[in-house]
Amino acid sequence: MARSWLDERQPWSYGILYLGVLAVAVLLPYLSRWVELPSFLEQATSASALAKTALFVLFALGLNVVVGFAGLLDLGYVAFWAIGAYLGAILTGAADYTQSLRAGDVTVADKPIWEPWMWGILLVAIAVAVLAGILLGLPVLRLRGDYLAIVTLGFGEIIRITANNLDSITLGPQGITSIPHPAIRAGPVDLEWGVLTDIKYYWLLLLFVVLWVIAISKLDRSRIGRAWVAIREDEVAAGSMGVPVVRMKLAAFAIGACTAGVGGVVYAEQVNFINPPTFNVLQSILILCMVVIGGMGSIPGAIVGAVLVTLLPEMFREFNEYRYFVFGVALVVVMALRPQGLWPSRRRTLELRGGMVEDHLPDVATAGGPETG
Amino acid sequence: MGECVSSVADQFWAQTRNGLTLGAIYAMIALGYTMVYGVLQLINFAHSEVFMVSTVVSFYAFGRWFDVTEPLTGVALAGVLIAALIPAMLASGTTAVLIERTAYRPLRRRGAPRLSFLISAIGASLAISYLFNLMDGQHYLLFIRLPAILGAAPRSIPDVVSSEPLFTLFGASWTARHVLIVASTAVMLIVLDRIVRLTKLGRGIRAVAQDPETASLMGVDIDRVIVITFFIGGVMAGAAGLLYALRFNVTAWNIGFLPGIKAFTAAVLGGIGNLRGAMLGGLLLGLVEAHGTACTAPHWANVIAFLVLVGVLLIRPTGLLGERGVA
Amino acid sequence: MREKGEGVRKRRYLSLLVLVAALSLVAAACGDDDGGTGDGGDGAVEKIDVTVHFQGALTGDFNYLVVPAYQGALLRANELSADEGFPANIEVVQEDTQGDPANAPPVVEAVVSDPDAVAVIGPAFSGESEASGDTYNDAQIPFVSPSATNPGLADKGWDYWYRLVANDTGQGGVAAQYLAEVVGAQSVFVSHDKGTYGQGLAEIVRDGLESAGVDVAGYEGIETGATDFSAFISNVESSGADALFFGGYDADFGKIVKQARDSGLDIEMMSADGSTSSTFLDLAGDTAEGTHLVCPCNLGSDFTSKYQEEYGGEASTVPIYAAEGYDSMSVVGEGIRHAIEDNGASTAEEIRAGIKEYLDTLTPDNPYEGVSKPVAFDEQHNLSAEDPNSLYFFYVVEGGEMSAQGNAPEVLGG
Repeated sequence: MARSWLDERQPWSYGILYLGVLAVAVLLPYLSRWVELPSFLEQATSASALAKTALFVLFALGLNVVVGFAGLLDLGYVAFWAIGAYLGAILTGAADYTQSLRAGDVTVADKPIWEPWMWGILLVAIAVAVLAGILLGLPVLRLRGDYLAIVTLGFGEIIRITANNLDSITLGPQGITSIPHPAIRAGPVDLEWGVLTDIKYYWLLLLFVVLWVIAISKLDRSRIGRAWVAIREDEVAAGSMGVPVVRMKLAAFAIGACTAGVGGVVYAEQVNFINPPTFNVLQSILILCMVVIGGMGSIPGAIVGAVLVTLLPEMFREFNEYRYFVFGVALVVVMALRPQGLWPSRRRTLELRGGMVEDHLPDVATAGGPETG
Repeated sequence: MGECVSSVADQFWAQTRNGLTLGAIYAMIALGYTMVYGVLQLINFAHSEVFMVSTVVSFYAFGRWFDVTEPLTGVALAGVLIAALIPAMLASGTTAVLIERTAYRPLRRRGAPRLSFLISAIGASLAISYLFNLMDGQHYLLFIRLPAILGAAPRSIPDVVSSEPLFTLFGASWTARHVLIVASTAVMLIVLDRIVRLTKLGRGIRAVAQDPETASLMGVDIDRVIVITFFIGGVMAGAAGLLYALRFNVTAWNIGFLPGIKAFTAAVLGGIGNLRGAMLGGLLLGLVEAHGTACTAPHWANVIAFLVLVGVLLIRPTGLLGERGVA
Repeated sequence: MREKGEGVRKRRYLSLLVLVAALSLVAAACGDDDGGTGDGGDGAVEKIDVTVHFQGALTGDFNYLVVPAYQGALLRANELSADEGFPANIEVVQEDTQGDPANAPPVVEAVVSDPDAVAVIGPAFSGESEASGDTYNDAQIPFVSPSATNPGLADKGWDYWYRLVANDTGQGGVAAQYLAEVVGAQSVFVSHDKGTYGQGLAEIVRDGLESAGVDVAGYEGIETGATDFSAFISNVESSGADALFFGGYDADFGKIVKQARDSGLDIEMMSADGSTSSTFLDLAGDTAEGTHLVCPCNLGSDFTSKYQEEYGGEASTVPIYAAEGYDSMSVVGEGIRHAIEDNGASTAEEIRAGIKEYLDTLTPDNPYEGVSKPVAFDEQHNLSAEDPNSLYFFYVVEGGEMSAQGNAPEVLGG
C-alpha cells in the first residue's frame, strides 16, 4: 500500500482526498467566474473573503493547540496576532515611513517597497511569538483554568494597550500605514502581491494552513500529543508518570503563538494598515468560538469552525449585527448539547461527554441529589 | 516618586471616600463571584451581566416609571429607592438563576470538565450583553421584533440622590450619594453575613461549600442550595447595580465588563469562596484604585487593578483570608 | 489500519453537507439578491443603471457618525433617480464595515467586482480609508468621503479620492482660536481618548493654543468607555484651567461633562465632531447647557429640516454629516450627468472617468453649490474654499439643542 505523506497509517485514498480538497480550495475564487452563483455565495468565494477565512483558519488551528490539545483556556490569543502584525509593519520600514510622512518629511514616492529579505520577517515573527508565548506561559502555568483564562485575557489587553501607548515604536492609536505588499522576483519568476483583493494572499495563507495542518497532525500523533492528552486527563498523574508537564504546556503556548504570529505578518502586508483597536478581546473570544464550535482538539473541527464563523457574516450581511449574540448562544448550546463540536475528535468526545477526566467539577448534582438526566 | 507621595497625601481623605464608595460596590458584586465559587468551584463569568441587568432596571425605574426629574429627599427618596430596589434585585437574581439553569446545570449533570463550564460562562456573558445591545427595537430574534429596551448607546439615568455635600470629614466633602452607598452596603453585607452564619440556609450553603457529598448525605438538597446561592449572589449584584446607577447616572449594554473584572479581582484578593474575604477584597481594591489614581494618570486605573490581580494570583493565590469555607 | 468505520466518516460528511444545504436554503428564503434596479423610467431619458456603494460604520458603536450621511446620500440618490431629466438610476448599496479597517477587504472587493459600480461614498472613517484607498485608486473608482477628517489621508497620493469635509488640522486650529478669542480662556486643559481621531485632534489643539499664547494647563488621555471620571476631573480642577477641550466621542464626553458639572467644576467645556450627537446630549442632560462644539459639519443649513421631514421617526436628532452625505451624492450625480451627457459615456468605466473629470473641475472659483457648503477641492482633493476656515462650524448647546453659531470666519471675525 502506498504511503501518504500525511500519515503512514492511512491508506493512500486519503491522500487523494486531501489533494482533491486542496485543489477545490485553491480554485474556489474562480468559481464565481465560471458558474452563476447567488450573490451570497459570490461574496463568500471572493478572494478577500477567502483570504480572511484562511487567516482565521490559521488562528483557529493555533488556538486549537492551546485550548483543544493542551486544555488551556487562552483568552488573550489576539496578542500574538498583534505581535506578528506589528513586527511586519515595523521591520519592513513602514513604521518609520509613516512617522516621517506624518511629520511631512517625505512624500508618497518614498513608500517602502518589498525587498526579498523581508520574507525573513516571517521567521522573526515565529521566533518572537514563540518567545512571547513562553513568557506568557511561564507565570500562568500553575494557575487553574479559571485564573489562567483571566490572566491570559489580561495579557491580550496589555499588548493592545502597549501598542496604543508605545507611540515611538508602534505609532500608537494612529497606526502604521503603507506596509509593503510581498513579492517574489527571482530569475524568471515575477510574482507580486498587489492590493488587498489579490487572490495570491489567499493562496499564501492557504499554503500556511496546509503546512500547519501537516505539522500539527504530526505533533498530535507524536509523544508531545500524547503528553498533552495525559496532561488534560490528569495533570498530577501525568507529572508523576514522568511527563514534563511544564515543558509540554509551554510548547502548546509557543506553537499557538507562532501560528498567530505568522498570520499576523501576512495580515499586515495584505491590509496595508494596522492600528491597536483591531486587536481586542472580542477577537480572541471569536477565535475561541471557532475552535469550540468546530470541535476542540480536532484539526478539521478548527477548520470548519473558522470557516463557519468567518463566512456566515460575510455571506449574510444582515447576520453581521447578530454575530456576537449568536456565537455566544452557540457556545452555551454547544457545551450543553454537543461539547465535542461539529467535527469532533474521537478522543475529546469521550472526555467531554463526561467520566474520563479528573479535572471536572465535583459532581455536586449527583451526590445524593436527584437522578442525573 | 516624591510627587506621588505628596499627591496621595494631599488627596488622602477625598480618595479614601472615593475608595470606600467604589469598594462597596465592588464588594457587593464580588459576593456573587465568591458565593458561586464556594459551592461550585466555578467562576461565573456571566455575573457581570447579572450586574448590568440591574442597572438597566434602575434606568427604567428612575427614568421612566418614577420619572424622577430632580433629586429627591426624605420619605420620597426612601420610597423610590425601595420601590426600585425590589425589581432590580429580582431581575438580577432571576438572571443569575437563569444562567445557572441554562449554562451550568446541563454540564453539572454530565460531569463535564471545568473547561466546559468556563466556555459556557463566556458564551452566556457574550450572549446576554449582546442581546441587550440588539434590543433597540430594530432587530429581530426568530422573527419576533425585539423591544427597544436598551440598544447600543449608553443611556443616562436621572439624578435621584443629590450630589450636594452633606458634611465634611477631614477635609473631604461627603454627599448624600457617598453616604447612601457606604451605609446601605454595610447594612446589606452585615445582613448577609448573619444569614450565612446563623440560618439553616446559611449552614446548608457552607456545608455544600465544604463537602458536597457529605452535605447531601446529611440531607441537604444540593440543587436547591445551588439555585439559592446563585439567587443571593444575583440579588447582591442587583443592589450594587442600583447603587452604581445612582452614583454614575449611566447604563449601557457593556457596562458590566469592567466592574465585573474588578469585582472578580476583589474576590480573588480576599480569598475566593470566602464571603468576608470578598467584602474585604472589594474595599481594599477600591481604596488601592482610588489612591493609585492620585499618583498616576487616570487611565492607568484599570491596569492597576489588573496588576493587583496578577500579583495576588502569583504570590498568594489563596487570597488574604484564605479560600473556601464560605464563612 | 482503518481508524473508525466508514459509517462514522460518512455520517460526518453528510451532516456537514446537510448543514451547508440548510444554510443555503435559509439564505435563499431570506436573502434578496441586489440585482439591478428597475428599467429606465417612462420619461424622456433612457436611464442607465449604476450603483454607488456607501462604505462606513452603518452598525456598531460609532454609527451615529455615519448613518445620517448614508440617509442623506440615499435621499439624494432617490431624488436623482426619480428626476426624469437625470440620465441614470442610482442604486445605493450599503457596505457596512463597522468602521474597522479589518473589515474593509471584503467590502472593497465587493465594490471592485461590481460591474455597475461607478463611485463609492465613503469610507466614512480614516482607518478604513487607509485600508481601502489603494485598491479603489488602482481600480480608478472615485471615492468621496463625507466624514473622514484625518489629515494624513491627503498625503497618500490618491487621485480618485475626494473628501467633502475639512480635515482635523484646520478643525484643531480653529478650535484653539475659538477657545482663545471667543471663550476667552486663559488656561486650557486638553484631553483625549487615546484614540486615532481623538488624540490626533487634541495634539493639534494643543499646538494651536500654544501658538496663540494660551497656557495649556494639562494634556491627558482618558480611558475610553470608563464610567468613573472623578480622578480625571480632579486633575482638571487642580490644574486651575478655565476651559477643557476633549478630543474624542460622545459617550465619553457626555459622562465627563455631567460628572464635572456635578462635582462643581464650572469651567467651559469644548469638544468636536465626535461628540456632536444625541447621545452626548442625553448623557450630559441639563449639564450640557453651554457646551461648545466645533464641527466640519453644517447642521445649521435648511437641509436639516428637509432631512427630518423625509426620515421622520428614523431621523437622528443630531444628523451629523447628513448634509455632507447628501452633497457627496449630489456631486457624484453631477459627475454621472457630465459623463453621460457630455462625454456620451455608457459603461461603468467611462462613467467613473467622467465623474472624476467633473470633480476635478470643482475649484473655489467654480464650486458646486451644495446644501452644506460650496463644494470644491484643492490639489490634494481636500475640501477647499476661498477661506478654508469657512468650512468649520461652531455650536453651543442651548435649551438642550445644538444651536448653530455660524462658521469660523463669522464667529472668529477673521
